[in-house]
Amino acid sequence: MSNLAPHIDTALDVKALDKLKTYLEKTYKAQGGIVTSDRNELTLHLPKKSLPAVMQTLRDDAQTRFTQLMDLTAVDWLGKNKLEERFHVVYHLLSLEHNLRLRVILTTGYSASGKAQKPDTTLADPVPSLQSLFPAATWYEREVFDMFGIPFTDAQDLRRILTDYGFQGHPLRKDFPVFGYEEVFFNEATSQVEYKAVDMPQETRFFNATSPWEGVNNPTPLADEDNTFPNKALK
Amino acid sequence: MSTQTHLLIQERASAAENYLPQNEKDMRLNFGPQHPSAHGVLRLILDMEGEVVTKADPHIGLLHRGTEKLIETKTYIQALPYFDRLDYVSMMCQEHVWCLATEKLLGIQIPRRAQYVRVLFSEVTRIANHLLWLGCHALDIGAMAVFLYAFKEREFTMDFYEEVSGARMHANYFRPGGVNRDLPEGLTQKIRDWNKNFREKVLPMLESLLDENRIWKQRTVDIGKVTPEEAQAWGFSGAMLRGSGIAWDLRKSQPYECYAELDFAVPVGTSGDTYDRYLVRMEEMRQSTFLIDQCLDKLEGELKGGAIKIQNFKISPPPREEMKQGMEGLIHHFKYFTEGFHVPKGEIYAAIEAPKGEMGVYLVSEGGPKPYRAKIRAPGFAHLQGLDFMSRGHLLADVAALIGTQDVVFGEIDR
Amino acid sequence: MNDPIAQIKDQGYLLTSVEDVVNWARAGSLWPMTFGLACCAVEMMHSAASRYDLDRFGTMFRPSPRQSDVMIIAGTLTNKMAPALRKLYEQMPEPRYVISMGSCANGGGYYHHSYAVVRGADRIVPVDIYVPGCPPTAEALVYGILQLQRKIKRQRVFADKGFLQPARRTEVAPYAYAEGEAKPYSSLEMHVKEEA
Repeated sequence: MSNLAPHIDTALDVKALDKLKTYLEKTYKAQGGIVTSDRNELTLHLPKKSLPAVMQTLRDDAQTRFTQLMDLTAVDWLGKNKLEERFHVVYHLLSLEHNLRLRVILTTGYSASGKAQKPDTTLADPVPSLQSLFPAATWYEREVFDMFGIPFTDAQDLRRILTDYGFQGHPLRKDFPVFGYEEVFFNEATSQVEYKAVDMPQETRFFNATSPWEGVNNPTPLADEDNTFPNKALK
Repeated sequence: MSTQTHLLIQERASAAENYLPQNEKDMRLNFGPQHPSAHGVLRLILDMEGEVVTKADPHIGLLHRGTEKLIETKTYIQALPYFDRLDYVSMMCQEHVWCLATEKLLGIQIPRRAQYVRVLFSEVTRIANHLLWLGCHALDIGAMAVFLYAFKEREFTMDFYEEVSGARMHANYFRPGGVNRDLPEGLTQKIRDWNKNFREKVLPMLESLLDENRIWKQRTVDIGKVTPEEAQAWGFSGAMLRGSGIAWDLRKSQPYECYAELDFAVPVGTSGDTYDRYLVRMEEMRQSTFLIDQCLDKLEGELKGGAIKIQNFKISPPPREEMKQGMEGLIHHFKYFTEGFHVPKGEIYAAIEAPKGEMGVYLVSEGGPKPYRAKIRAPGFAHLQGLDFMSRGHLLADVAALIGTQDVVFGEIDR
Repeated sequence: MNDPIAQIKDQGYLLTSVEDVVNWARAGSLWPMTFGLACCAVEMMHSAASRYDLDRFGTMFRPSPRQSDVMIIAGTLTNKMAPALRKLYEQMPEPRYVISMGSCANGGGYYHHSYAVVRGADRIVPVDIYVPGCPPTAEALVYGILQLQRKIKRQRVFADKGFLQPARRTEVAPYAYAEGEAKPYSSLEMHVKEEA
């Protein structure tokens, strides 16, 4: 573990983290929660239906007090996971009182049938909304809806937020091309800014070829002898 | 070439539709996207009752550039300059969070001198950010002179950027594994001189312009009050949280780099209004000058001549001479700049105390040279979301003060 | 006797063409709109602030498009912003000029491949001056504005309705000056001399 504790967490309280891990495992086992730990970060995997209740206790429980929802996002695992669990919805919680962070992950599926149109406007399976619990979730949920097409049940506000008015598709899905489907131009004939199909005269080169060049696999000491590291210097 | 025309004009007008005024004083006001005090491209739909705001609906995304999608197509080092362009008034702090995220996934530590150089420039950047915030905030409220004085000092911070990286703004200086190159000779002394002058002459002068200024106080005291509970519920961070009386600074509470070894104080407000946040940020600048001095002492003293990047040439480029003369160095250089380095599988969340608040990156790697997903947690996104509850009951003119006090920058909010 | 100051001192008047006077006035008081889109806006602010001080060139930022002559597209133009930008352009009174500042406005730049970015502001509005850089330094923007001033001074105002077309001075028969006759002061000649 010491090799995997870089300078970012110089003063991390690993004991408190372990304590929280056992506490979470004990408390949320009944709700189907699974706790994993990686690189000094705790992740709580939850089934979708128990999310609001668990989040409420995480926020109000004196042992945890995760009062701040710092981040809410999603990851599209198209081609890596089955379609029933295509998306991960990821919540990052912060407890100011205990100085701890927790990541909560739940999966949601994509039950579209038949041929997918381009751009794909089919929505994923809905996820419970946290807008009444954490007001901060409002814009984050709007963003996830906009970018991934994941709807949130009981959300008070679920409009698109970042993309253009009238945008079609969900750009951060893995099947959405990076240059999109449409681009704007000014039409002299109609004197209006209009959309047309995207036209990239020059081919985009992505350099996706992978090589046996592996970089680092084992976190062995990577610096030369003359580099003193903070942990060594402090101890 | 088929021309498909969505008549977007009609959709754009939809803000005015479905709006039924209750009495003759009610109106709906469109603020922006081009407004001198909108700090960029903010569009606000304000429901007003006379001159009092009853509801504010910020429309963002007018600077949505698809950064997160583009990062997925770039290697880790190619993605780094996008972070300069996120919050374009505090460039190196944004680079810092990406470097930390990558290093955390790689499981590497960087040389101590590199840590101190990073902290030095993070603090220079913090001053640069707060100077721009101060100048524009004061300009929005009506004080022109502060803008000119603040920008005069800001030019010096940009000079330091230029000396160390070659670019005045988008430095691309912090790299995974350290920093790009060592400090040029004489820079430490220049920063030290400027820092002393800034702390002893400029900062008191800027404070004397505003601290007891009657107009400034009338425009800021009791404007945009945020209680500690509200600040937590809305996910605020940085000065927005500290202004409300919560002593929370990631540099203190979850120290990264060498912040644990440095001595500085965290200013905290009491009433949570715009004036308190102004005081907090001014004091932060003063604390930054102390941090800069401590970093300079170390860099000129015990860490002089140390390595500034990791000596594993699969993660950092080899020295120029080695690349020109040795086969090994040439291969490393070529592979580093074309394919990049492979990062182990995993997911992490790295956060720093950026000048605006908690800047975080949720980075998912599937192995390979490109990130699978990078989510940028921008402080301004959460802050701007709170504009609705902060502006309710305030006058229209105070909305400009609120946008100023939130220190919004659209590069990071829209991404 | 080419020195205009000496001519005024000597004769009390100055001979020039109306076109030159109009162009001189236009170029000498270019008022850009306070309109920052992204990163370049910071450099634009720096060029207007203490060190670079654009006021020296008669360039003062105006908050309203209806009072401005030049629009500096400072930053990335996105699809969502494009109609607003065009609307602002149309609200500006003629003659109006556009400076495209930075790689993003010139051609998409670092964000060229993005689904949300206009690949060049010239797809939306006609651009007069392109300032390269990411972002261009404040000096580069000042240089761009000086270039725009030169472009304006070359413009024909009355004789040719074509907007922003290069002056075709060769078509006009040159006036034959008598020996010792005062020659009019022309800003164009000044620039020709500079270039040579």
